[in-house]
Amino acid sequence: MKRLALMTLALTLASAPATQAAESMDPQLKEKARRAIDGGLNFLRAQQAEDGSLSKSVGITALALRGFLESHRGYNEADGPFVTRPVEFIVSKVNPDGSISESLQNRSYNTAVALVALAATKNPKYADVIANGQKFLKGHQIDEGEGYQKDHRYYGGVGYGGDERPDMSNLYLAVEGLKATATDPKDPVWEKALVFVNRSQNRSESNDQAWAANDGGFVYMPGWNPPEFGGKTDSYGGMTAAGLISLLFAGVDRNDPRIQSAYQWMTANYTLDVNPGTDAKHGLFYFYNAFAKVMAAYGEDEFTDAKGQKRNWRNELAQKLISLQAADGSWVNADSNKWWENNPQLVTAWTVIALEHIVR
Amino acid sequence: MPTLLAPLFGSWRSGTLRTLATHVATWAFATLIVLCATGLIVGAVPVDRLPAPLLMALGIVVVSHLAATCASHVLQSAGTAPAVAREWASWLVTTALWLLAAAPLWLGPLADLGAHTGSAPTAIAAASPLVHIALAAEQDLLRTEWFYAHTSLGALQFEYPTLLAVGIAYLGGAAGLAVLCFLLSRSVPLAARPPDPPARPKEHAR
Repeated sequence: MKRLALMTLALTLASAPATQAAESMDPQLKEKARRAIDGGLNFLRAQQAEDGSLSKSVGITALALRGFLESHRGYNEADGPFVTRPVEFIVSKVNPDGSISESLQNRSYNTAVALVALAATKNPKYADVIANGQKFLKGHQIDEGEGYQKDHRYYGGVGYGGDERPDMSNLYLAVEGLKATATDPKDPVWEKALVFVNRSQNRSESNDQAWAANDGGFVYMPGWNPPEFGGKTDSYGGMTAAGLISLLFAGVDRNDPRIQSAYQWMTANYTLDVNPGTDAKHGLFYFYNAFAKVMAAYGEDEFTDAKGQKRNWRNELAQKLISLQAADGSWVNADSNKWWENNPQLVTAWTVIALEHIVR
Repeated sequence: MPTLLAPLFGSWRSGTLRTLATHVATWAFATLIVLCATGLIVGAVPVDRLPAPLLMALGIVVVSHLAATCASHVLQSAGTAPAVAREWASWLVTTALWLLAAAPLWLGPLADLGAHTGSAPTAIAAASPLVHIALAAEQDLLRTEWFYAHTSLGALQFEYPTLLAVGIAYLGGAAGLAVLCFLLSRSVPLAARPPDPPARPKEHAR
C-alpha cells in the first residue's frame, strides 16, 4: 500500500506543472487533440490480439496500455478486456530475473515501459512484479557488477537488454520506468545514470570525454551516433529530449547548467518537420513522444526559437500530430522504417502518449 | 573445433614442403578467425554458459564437413580428380559459410528494402551462423556496438529464430547431408575407377 501511495504521488507530482500549463492551449485544438487520442485508442483496441497483445511484443502492448490508462477517458481495469487482457499478457511475460519481456533482445526496453504501464493501473496486485522489474533494471545498469569501472564510457548506461552496449534512449526509458514506480531518490542508480548522461552531452564542462563539443545537445551514446545520423557526435533532437528527461527525472535542478544548455539547444533547433539537428525523418515519432514528455516536465508552454519567434509547443505539436493521423486513427512514419517506425501499432501508441502529455 | 576444421583444408600427405606449409598456415589462420569470433561473441560470458555456443559451433562444423564431402563427391562424379575435388569442395563450403555468417552485413540494404514486410530482416538474421552462435550465448549480436554501426538490421524490426528451431535445422541438415553423402559416395567409385585394361587378344589354336 505504501509503495502504491508513493507511486501515485510520483505520478501526480510529475504531471502537476503540466496540468496547470495546459490551460494555455487553444481550447478547440485541445478538443481536436482529444478526439485524435480517441481515434488512436480505437485503432489500438481493434488491433489487439486475442490475448490482448500487440505485435506479440511486451513493449508495444505496454505502451498501448499506458495510452489507455493515462487518457482523458480515465480507463482502468474495470472497463473491460481491452485493458485487462494487455495487463495479463504483460504479467505473463515476467521472467525469473525480474525482466518483463517475451524476448532476450529487448529485455530492458520492455521492462522499462511495462513498469510505467503497470504503475498506471494503480493496482497493488502488481507491486511484486514492479519491485522485481525495478531490481532487474538496476541490475542491468552497466557498473562494477558487469566489470566496468567508473571511467569507462559505458558506465551508468542501460542498453536494450540483449547485450551490454548502453545508449541514451534505453537509459531514458529505464529512468522513466524507475521514476514512475517511485524508486528511492537516494538509490545509487540515479547517480550512476547521471555519469552516463553527462558523458552523452555535448558540454565539455560536465563531459570528460575528448569528443565533447559545447552546443548542449545530446548524442546516442558517448562518442557515437547511429549511422542513420552520420555516426559522429552531432547533437540531435531525439537524444537531446531523452537526455533532458533523464536529467529532470534523476532529480537535477531545473536551473542546473546542464539542463539549461540542453533546453536552449532544443528551443534553438526546434522543428517538427525532421528530427532536429538532422535533415532526416528517422526516429521522428520517437522525437515527438520524447519532446512532448520533456516539455511537459520542464513546465514552459512557450519559448522563443532561434529566429526570435514565440512558439507554443502544445498547439504546434498537437496540430502537427493531428495532421499526420490516418483515417483509421493510426499513425506511422511513412518516410522511415528505422527503429520500427513503420509499425503503426508502435507509432500510434507513442503518438497517443505524446498527445496525452500535450492536453494534460 | 578449429582442429575439426583442419581436414577441410588439404591432405596432410601432400607431396611438397611448400604445399604442406600452405595448408598449415591456412589451418592456423582459420583457427585464429574462429577463436576471435568465439571470443567476440562469447566475450565475458561466464564459463558455465560456454557449452551452448560451443555446441552450436560444433553443429556448424559438422554440417560444413558433410556439405564439403557431398560437394566433393559431386565433383568427382563429374570427373574431377579426388584431391582436386576435395580442395574445391572445401573452399566452396568455407566461402559459403563466411558469406552466410556475414549476411547481416552485406545483405543489410536488402533488409532495409524488405523491412516493410518484416520478413526480410528476420530471414537474413536467421541465415547467419554467427547469429546462431550468439543466440546460444544469449547475445543480441546485431545490436552490439560494432554490428549496430555496420549493419542496418539492428535498427529494423526483426525476430531472432529460437534456439530450438536452429537446433532442429542443424540436426535435420546434418542427417539429410549424411544420407546424401552416402548416396553420392556409391556413384563415385564407378566414375573414379580407372578404365578397364584393353582385352588381351585370344590365342588362336594351332
